[in-house]
Amino acid sequence: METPEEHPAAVVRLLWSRVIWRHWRREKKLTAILVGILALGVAAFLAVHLANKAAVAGFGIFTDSVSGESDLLIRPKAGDLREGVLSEIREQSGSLPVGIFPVLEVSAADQAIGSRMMFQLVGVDLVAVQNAPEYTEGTDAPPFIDGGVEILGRSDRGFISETLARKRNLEAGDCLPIFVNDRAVDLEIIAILQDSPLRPGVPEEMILMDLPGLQELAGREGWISRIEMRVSPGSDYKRNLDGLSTILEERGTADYFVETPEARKESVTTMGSGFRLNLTILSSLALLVGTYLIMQAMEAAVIKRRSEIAILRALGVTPGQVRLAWILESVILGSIGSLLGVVLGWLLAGALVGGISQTVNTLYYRTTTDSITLSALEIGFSLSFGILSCVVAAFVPAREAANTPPALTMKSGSQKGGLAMLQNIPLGVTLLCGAILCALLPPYVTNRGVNVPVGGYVAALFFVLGFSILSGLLFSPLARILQKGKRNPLRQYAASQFRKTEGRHRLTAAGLAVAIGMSAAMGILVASFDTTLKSWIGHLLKADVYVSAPGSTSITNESTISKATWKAVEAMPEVEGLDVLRRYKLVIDGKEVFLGGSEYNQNSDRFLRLIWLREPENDGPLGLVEKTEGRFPAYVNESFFRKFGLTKGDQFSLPTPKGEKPIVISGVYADYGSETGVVIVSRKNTRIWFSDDSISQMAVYAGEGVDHSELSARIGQEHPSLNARTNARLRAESLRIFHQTFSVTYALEAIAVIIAVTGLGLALSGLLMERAAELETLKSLGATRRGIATAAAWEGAGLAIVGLSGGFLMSGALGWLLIYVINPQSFGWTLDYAIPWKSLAGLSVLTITAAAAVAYGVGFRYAQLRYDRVE
Amino acid sequence: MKLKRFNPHWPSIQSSWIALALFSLSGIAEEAAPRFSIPQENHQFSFPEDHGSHPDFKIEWWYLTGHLFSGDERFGFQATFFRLAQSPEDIPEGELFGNEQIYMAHMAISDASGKRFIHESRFNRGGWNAFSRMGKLDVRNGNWSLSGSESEMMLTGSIRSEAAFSLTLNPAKSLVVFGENGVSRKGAAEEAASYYLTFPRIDAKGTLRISGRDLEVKGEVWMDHEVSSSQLDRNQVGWDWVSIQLFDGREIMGYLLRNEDGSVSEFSKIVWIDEEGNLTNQLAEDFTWIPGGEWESPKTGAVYPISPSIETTDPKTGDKLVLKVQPLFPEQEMAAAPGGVSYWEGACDILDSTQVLIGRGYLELTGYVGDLAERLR
Repeated sequence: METPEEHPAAVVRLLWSRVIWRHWRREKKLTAILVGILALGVAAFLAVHLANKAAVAGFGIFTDSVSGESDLLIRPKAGDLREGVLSEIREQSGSLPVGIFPVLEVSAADQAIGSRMMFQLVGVDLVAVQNAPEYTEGTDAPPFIDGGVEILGRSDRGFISETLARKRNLEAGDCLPIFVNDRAVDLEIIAILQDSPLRPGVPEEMILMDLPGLQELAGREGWISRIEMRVSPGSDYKRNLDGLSTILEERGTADYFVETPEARKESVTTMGSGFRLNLTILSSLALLVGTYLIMQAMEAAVIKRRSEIAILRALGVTPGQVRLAWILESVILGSIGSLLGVVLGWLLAGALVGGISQTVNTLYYRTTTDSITLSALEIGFSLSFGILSCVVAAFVPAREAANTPPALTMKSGSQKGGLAMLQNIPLGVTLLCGAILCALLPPYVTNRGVNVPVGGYVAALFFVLGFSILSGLLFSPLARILQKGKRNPLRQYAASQFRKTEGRHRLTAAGLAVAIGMSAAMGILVASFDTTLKSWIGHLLKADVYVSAPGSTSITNESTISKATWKAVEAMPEVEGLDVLRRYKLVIDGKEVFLGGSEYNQNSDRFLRLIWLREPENDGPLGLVEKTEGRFPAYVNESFFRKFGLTKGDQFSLPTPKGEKPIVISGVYADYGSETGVVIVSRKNTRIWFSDDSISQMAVYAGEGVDHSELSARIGQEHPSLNARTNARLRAESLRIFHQTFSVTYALEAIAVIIAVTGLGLALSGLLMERAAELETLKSLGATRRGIATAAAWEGAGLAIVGLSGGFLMSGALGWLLIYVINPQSFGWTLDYAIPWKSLAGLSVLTITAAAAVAYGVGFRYAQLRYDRVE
Repeated sequence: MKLKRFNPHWPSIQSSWIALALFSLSGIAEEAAPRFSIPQENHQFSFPEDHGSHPDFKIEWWYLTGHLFSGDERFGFQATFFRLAQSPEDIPEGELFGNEQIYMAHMAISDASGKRFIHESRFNRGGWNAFSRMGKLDVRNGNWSLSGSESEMMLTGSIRSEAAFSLTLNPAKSLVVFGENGVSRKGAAEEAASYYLTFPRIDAKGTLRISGRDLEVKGEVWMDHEVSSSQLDRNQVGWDWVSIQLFDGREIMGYLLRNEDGSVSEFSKIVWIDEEGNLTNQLAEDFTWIPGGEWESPKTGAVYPISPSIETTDPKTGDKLVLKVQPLFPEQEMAAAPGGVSYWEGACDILDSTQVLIGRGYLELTGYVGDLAERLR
């Protein structure tokens, strides 16, 4: 007879056919669940990554499409750039072969009723832009523009994207009605910008116009938004680019700064990086829960095949060969699960991208949604990640199965297993202490100025592991509780399982605790956000009607309301007074901030009152008007305070088109509307600094007895371009937008809970199988099938209670971490801690019921099997 | 009649829509042509003013070709600055994005030893990045510029990041004015005429950076400055043009206007400039332009007669003379991007009938690819 040592390949074949394949065939559902768990974990991780990528990629397309990829960008430090800068730069760059392409960008809103679409009017010199191909090597040419000189200087004609033309059934010669600032304009379509497979598609919302025409249309004569610079290609390209950079650096001005498009893209996408990092971490935790559960499932699979393993071991199969077979199985299952996960993740990303884009648009910067693309690298990474998780999860049970002596393996009822780590109570305590210490660490600041709460994330991981371990301590008191009261043999039996728990119960409870802990922690975060926002909005929104320039949902909307228009609103007899605000973009120390020029209502005691973190001496309507010791007073928001480390009484310089202005901070206010730093000064100053009397938005205070809805409607009728909303409507809309930003979180929570409950069923199935002999004894003692199922239900519910309790403790700690450490460090927001009791109670009932039901089902099934027929 | 056919120097009609649109406008502008000024006989030129821009005329260019040397190395170059008026006014003072004037420019370098031809063209509207000043010579298009006085000019040019040059130009011979009574007539119509001012021989010296090397260069340059508002006949399909600097101190400018039926237009002409700057005109019947040396462009498929011979009479001696035009190398085609108009413009040697080198020149051949007349309408 051939010995296994002599023919390892034959042994592996034997193991494959007798142990793995046969098991899969008989336990189709179990195998499917195992694969499903893995697929869900991989899918959640991949989906968030892909959706993030698509939302951010949209930004790249927007910056690259005007002149093709530029070498350097010149951007204003404040507001817009004087167009006179062009001549200066041409003069400075001397004979260097540099293409200088000025660009003006203006937001416009769709006139179509109900449409929330914002257009981006991009003004370029339509003559000069034709030279762009000379600055391009290869086929990276900008959109080919067809037209004629009759379009030059025209403020009523533009080119639209192929996508828009297709969606709206538009063609050359048609008119597109839009609002530019508060002007209604019928823009004649000159031609359609054709997409080409050789370059990024033209964004749907982009409308290309001749630059001076757009200047006239938007009332921004003499101003441009940025300058794209391109060095001609050729053997001296690098030399010329270096020469240009040096010249521009040496002759730097107070007006503008120079950066590479890469740096620009980085600095813009950095703004949402905290948000995206949070999502990535969350999605990784979903996979962590998955790993716990795969571990359980693999264990269950091992238990089912103990006797076969024992026989094989008795026949001389080595522990190494058994281990190999198990690893092989996990690789195969891991591959199938991960492949399914990739497909599922790709589909899920499509659903998530809308939510992520919306959040990014609302809070950070304008982006267009790119299509979901999946690279070979991402597929490879997801597969490896999934397979590796599966192998890691299978390793412990495989080792246990392989190393247990045959005689012992044959003996059923060993509830050892699980992670030995989970019984290490001192380790659990150490992890919790470590978590608290890590949470105290300051954030790590990247070289791009992003705060990454590394300590917070490590603390989260430590909390998760620590509470996973310590949740096992809850079994013993649970057993005592279950044994109290009327003696019910089935409950007693269930309680007996918890009296001296070993690895398997603890692993199940830990997996559930992680899933519940994370979901509940996110619930606490959302509830805290919700409570804080409602209180903030309630405090802040005291005016009766809010009026903004068209399309104000995006933070990048730069539409304005002309002086004539807002003065007309102010003069309406129903109007008692206005708070007005003009918003500008600024760059301070390389960081983008918003400058608000505000002017508060002085006709009554009603005016915008901010929530102060550091209260100014005078927070009245004229608090910002008077200079303090030669400096302009300003309020800054919490994000500004955290980003720049400047607080009340501190001084800094504010870049404006009229030069640097000395500022002193007179107050710091809470702001949940923006992660960007905001500086508010008096509009009396900004109108001089920016030579601009327009405003971005106004809060209208109605007179006594005026119907707010009617006033809002009247403003809308008289000025169709304006967005007029009553207080109630704005509150509802604000909350809707904020809830929208959490849509991705809800999806991830749901995935974690589904994984956890599925895993619970799987674990119970393993536990009951292991106790098949016991069940047989119970049956012979008179226990009915239903009775055994009820005992199993008690056990399932008990496991769920331990998991929930551990999970809630974990969520309390994680919630604290999210609200007091991670959020303030990465977003600069302080929230009020709120616990969503109702949701948590619902989650508890749902989980315990689901666990009891699943356990009952599993118990019912195993109660009918004879001990000797248990596979 | 089409404006763009008016001048045989029309070289730089490049690829893009705007050029075509401009020409479309020129066509439309036929009725509107009187709005623009028309060259008048016995016009009193005044310098430096007339070296500057004439925005009341529809079309104007400053056109330089030359031969540069550095040690044993030889280079040809072309630098052209065009002004194409959309209305007979200059752009308003301080306007950065004018709609009245469009500027087109073209640069090329022919590296004789490396047999390498590089070129670039561009368009810009009048304003911050392109202009031609009135009252003096001061023309710019992006980083390319030409400025100065009658005694010294500065030319700066580049071809992408492959080559760059900066030249000081000192006229070695006085300015000449082609045409009868100061008007160079190209057709029968009253408006088919131009002011045609030329520095036939200019000493050039300066620097040329090419292929990563900085070279001190010197050589001789030909410069035209032409002002008009008119067009050529409809039946013409293209032109051959040459400028020659003979070693004996004389120069020749000549052009052959080709009709649709293959015949030569009666307005074709050769003009001799003697050592003192005196002009001798030879009309179409006084010379024979014999096409030769066909070269087929691998890029456009056009077949150009790049080595023509001109049989004429030397006005100084009265002897018959053959001027054989020999390009430095064939690949000197201004191949336009898809949709554009391509032509051949290259540095040449001039040989006599015994193959003796007697001078240097620049040859321009248009209308050999695509339907030039149609494109320019």
